[in-house]
This record gives sequence, structure tokens and C-alpha cells, in this order.
Amino acid sequence: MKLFNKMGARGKAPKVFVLGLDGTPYSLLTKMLKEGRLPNIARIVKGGSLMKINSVVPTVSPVAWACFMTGKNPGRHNIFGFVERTLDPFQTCIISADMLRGDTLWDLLNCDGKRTIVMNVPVTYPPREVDGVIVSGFLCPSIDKATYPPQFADVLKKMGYIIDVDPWLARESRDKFLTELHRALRRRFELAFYLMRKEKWDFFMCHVMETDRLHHFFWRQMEEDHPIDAARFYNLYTVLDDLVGELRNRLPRETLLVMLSDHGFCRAKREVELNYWLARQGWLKFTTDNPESLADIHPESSAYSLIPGRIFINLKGREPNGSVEPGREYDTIRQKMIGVLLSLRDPDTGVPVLKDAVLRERLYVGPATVNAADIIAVPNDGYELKAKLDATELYSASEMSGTHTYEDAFLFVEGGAAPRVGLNVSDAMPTVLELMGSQIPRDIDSASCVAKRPSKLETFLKKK
Amino acid sequence: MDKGFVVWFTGVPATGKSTIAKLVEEQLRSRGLKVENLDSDEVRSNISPNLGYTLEARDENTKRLAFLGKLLSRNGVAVLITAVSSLRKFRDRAREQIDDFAEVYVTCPLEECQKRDPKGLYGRAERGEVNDIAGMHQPYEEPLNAEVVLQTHELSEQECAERVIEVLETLGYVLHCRPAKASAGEAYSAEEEDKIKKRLKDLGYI
Repeated sequence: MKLFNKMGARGKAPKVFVLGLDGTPYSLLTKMLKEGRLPNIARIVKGGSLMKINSVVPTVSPVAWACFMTGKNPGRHNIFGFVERTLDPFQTCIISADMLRGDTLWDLLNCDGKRTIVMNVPVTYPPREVDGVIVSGFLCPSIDKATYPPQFADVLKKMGYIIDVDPWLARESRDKFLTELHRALRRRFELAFYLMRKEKWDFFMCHVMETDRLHHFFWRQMEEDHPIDAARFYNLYTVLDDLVGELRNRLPRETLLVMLSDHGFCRAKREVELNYWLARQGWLKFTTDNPESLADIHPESSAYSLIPGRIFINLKGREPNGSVEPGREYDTIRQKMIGVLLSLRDPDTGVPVLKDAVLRERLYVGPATVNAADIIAVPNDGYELKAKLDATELYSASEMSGTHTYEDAFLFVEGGAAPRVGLNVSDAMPTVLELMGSQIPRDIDSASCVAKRPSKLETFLKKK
Repeated sequence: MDKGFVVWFTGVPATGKSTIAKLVEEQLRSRGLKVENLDSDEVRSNISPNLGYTLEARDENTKRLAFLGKLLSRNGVAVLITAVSSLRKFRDRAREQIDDFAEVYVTCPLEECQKRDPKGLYGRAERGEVNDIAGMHQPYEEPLNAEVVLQTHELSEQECAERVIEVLETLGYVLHCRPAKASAGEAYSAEEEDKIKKRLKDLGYI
């Protein structure tokens, strides 16, 4: 199977530890490194390549981490957002790992005889059987159901492990929210250190959600150098830097550290309600004055939206009360909608709200494309595309302090990598496989960026 | 890489082969597949402009089409071929050469074809200008084991295209993708789903 192994210290393929920092932008990381705020990470980064990468459309964590896990685009891995629609009854449902298609990085490593430990990665609930351990992340409803093997949940409970901090806390008390964030972060690393010590492993992944949560509620304050909140913002990163330093020291010698984020972040400017917009254009009607679910959509509607920026045509034969004829009518209305969408302007600044609005077949490749929305609206930085059914205005001030960006995620590969234009989060998957000397499958949409080390001949020629 | 396959539309002129193939093409494309629609007339005019319509010429033409289909499909392309391909042996030869193959027999009564006559072929036959139409002057052998039979005087064009897609799904050439199943009772209980939804709302994610 294998053509060659990347030789480790003792002629073995190296182990890899992947640390996922949800929503940590490349630009923020490099700024903090320059300011000397992250001494441990700075030391580690010297031993490899730190690269700016892109996320995925739509730019939300489950879609991006599914790209990382499978090395595939959403048209193949089948995860397009936090929620999907069910047709009978017609309503929204939360996505789960049951919907994920394709082999994951750990499936492939297991096939290659390698033991894997995976902690807290989004879209790993319900946990699948694995040679190793899985601790599900965000979207997992309780610790009891979070692990494979199932009895491992007891260990988590004993350690006071926290899957995810309740974001409602941030509205009640910013102090309480931060305390919980710090607690969750520490417990996460405690569990990682415990598993590193107790379990046999070749591949270990730990995902940190706390960075994303911090950004959602403290990003603007950080940018504005708010006297208290900016310090609180950097403080979480100082703690994280200590923990990463400790992690690096605890890693076995022949282990390579890979770090990455799944998207960037910026200040949240405005929320844009796409269902309200569709209704105003006459493309969406409801059967009641207070619509609550998709079932309240009037059969005469042409389209509706799910968050973020996903517009589904009310297609006859597909949607429960579909009225748009497939073929010409479907194509015409999609083109027309894209035209009008692109003319949306910020009412204050006149800046276009959208960077683009794309037909699904232009954005995705693969058989799961059929499950994607018919049009995907891509916002300019700072605009959050919402899909409330009962919205009463098109634009409103953002509730959040920060929001995701497509550009400006990061990837760090210890030992060096070959950056290239257009690197994205899915490229990390084949990169890990190559680092570990495992075969890269042919049916993925990504490519490794491991730096080809100079051969003995090249080194020899250079010396001459 | 996606697996390629060939869908071979056969039937006498003016039964609706090209129209249906175009609709199937659109549907496959919107599912993210790479599609090549090889219309016999177009392929003839580009790579065999001097080929006529004798049985020998038809033999040669279908041989070339099958070869193109084989090349493209083994490289992951969904290939649609529309050709009268009047004799069974023409189609069976293609089936033998191509791993994933589906034959679609497109048919309707001759009077209906004469009425439609989009290329004016039957009109020319009536005026005695042509004498080589399959099913009229030349034999047309109906398929014995086509994967799909479409009676185009009974079904709409759209229904025909959908039937083809359904069969491609059943054959496993196209992934049978449907929107998510209701998750209640599966990954999440109703109570758990509400809890997660509230959390997502608090983050502005839904």
C-alpha cells in the first residue's frame, strides 16, 4: 500500500498531534506573536511553517471541520450548515455525524493500522466506532452519549469535563461566561494530557472551541482596546499559550504538531434577514401571520432560506408544497434572484452586502450536491446572513461582537510545508496522511502541502 | 473521483431522445457530476462528416460513439449518448465495452413522430427526398433488455427525465441523495434537539 514512509527518528513514521483552534485568524495569531503575547507558540512556530488558508462556503464550523475530516468539498461530505430541512414533517433539524459521507481521516488511519484519539471535533456526534477513543464535541447533547467506547463517559464525568460553554451565560454575566470558558479550556487540556498518557496512539486530535466563543462575544472590544474586555480577550490566549507550551513538552519525541483554525474572524457589522428579503420581493409567503416553522410556508412561495445564506427554491416534486417547475422556470428564477441579491447594499455605507451569490453546481462537486441549497449567498466580511421566519426588518445591528470570515484561517505544520495559493482547510487532511506515511485516497478534493525535503543529492549539490 | 457511466438513448427519429437527454444532463449537472452529452448528429458532423446512413455507416457511427463513451466514462464522466442505433448488435457492443451502462429506449407511435418531426425528416421522406429512415425504410430492432423504456406520448419530458434519474440511482451510478431524515428519535431526542437549537440560537447560528 505505502510507497514510502516519512522516516522518524527511529525509522518509524512519525505520530501527529493536531490542535484545532476554532476561529483563530491567521492575522490575529501573527499580530499576537509579533507583540510577544504567545511565547510558547512563537517557539513552536519557528520549527515549521505557519500559513494563511481559506475556509469554506458557507463559513461555519461544522462545514469546515467536515472538510478537514474528509478532505472533501461539501458536495461530497454532505454537511452544509448547522441545520438541514426534513420534508415530512417539513421543519429544520440539527445535523449530526450520521449525515456525514465519506471516510474520515481517522477511518483511513485506522485502516492503515494506526490508533486514533479524537477530542471535541464538531460533527463527531454520535461517536462512531473507532480504533482508539472519540469524545464528541459541539452539538453533542450530553456527556453520557459523547464517547466511544461508551463507558469512557464515566472518566469525563469524574474529571468535570465540559463539552461546550452555554453561550446564554454571556448575556447574563460576562464574568461568569469567561470563568466558564477558562474552566472548559483547562478541562479540555487536562483530558488531552490524561489520554496522551493513558492511551496508546499514533494520531491525536484535540479541538478547542473556546477561542471561537471568545471571539463571538469579545472581538469588537478587543479591536477597540476596551480597558477591561481587551485584557480579558488576550488573557484567554495567554492561558492557551501556556497550555500549548505544556502540550508540546509532553508530546513524545517523534511527534509532529499540526495546528489549524477553520475560519477567520472579524467585527460583526449587521444582520441581514434573507427570509424577510425574500418575502419583500414577493418570493416568500406564509400561511399565518406568525410563522414558526417551515410548515407555515405558503405553497405559492418561490423560495425560502436557511442560515447562513442558503436559499432553497420551492421546487415542485422536491419540496413538500413545491410550486416552481423544474427546468426552465427553476433556472430562470435562480438567475433572477442572484441578480437582485447582488444589488443588496448596506443602508448606511452603500457597501454591497454580498461578495457573491452562487448556483450550487458552481460551488460544489459531487453526488451530495443534490442536498445543497439552490443558491448560496456569500457575505462580505461583517455581514451575518440570517433566516428568521418572523423577522420584521431586513437589517439590524449584530447581536454578536464578532463573526466568521472565509479568508484568514491558519495552518501550521511542524517540520515545514510548501504554502501555495488557495490552500484551504480540507488540505490539512492529506497533509496529515502524508506526514504519517499513510496513503492519500484519490477521491478527495484536496492536496498535501508537506514540504518535500531536499534529497541527499540536492543537499550535496548545494554544498558544492 | 466519481464513477463514470454511459446512458445510451435509442429510438427512431423524433421520439424525443435529445430533449430528454438534455433534461437529464441538467439534473446530473446540478448534482455536481461532470457530464458530456454526445448527440449523434453533433458527433457525426464533427468527427465523421462523410459518414452516411447505410447500415454499414450506422455500424461505424455507433462503434465510434461507444468508444468515446468508454474513454470519457472511465475518467469519471457521466456520458449521455443519443443515437438511433437501429440494430441490437450496435447497442450490445457498446454495453459489452462499457462497465457501467444503461440503455434507455425512447418510443412513441410513428404517427406521433411524423407529427412532431423537429428536423423535417419525415416531411422529406414523404416528398421522396430521403429513403434511409430507421423504422421506416430501414429496420429498427426494439431493445429486449433496456434499463428504461419511455413512452413519450404518455409521459411528459420532465417525467421521462426523472424516470431515467431514478433508474440511475437504483443502478447505483448516481448516489441516491435525499434531504436529511428527521433526526428526532435518531441522533437526538426531541428534548436534546430543543436544547441544542437553543444553544445555536444564543450563538446566532440559527
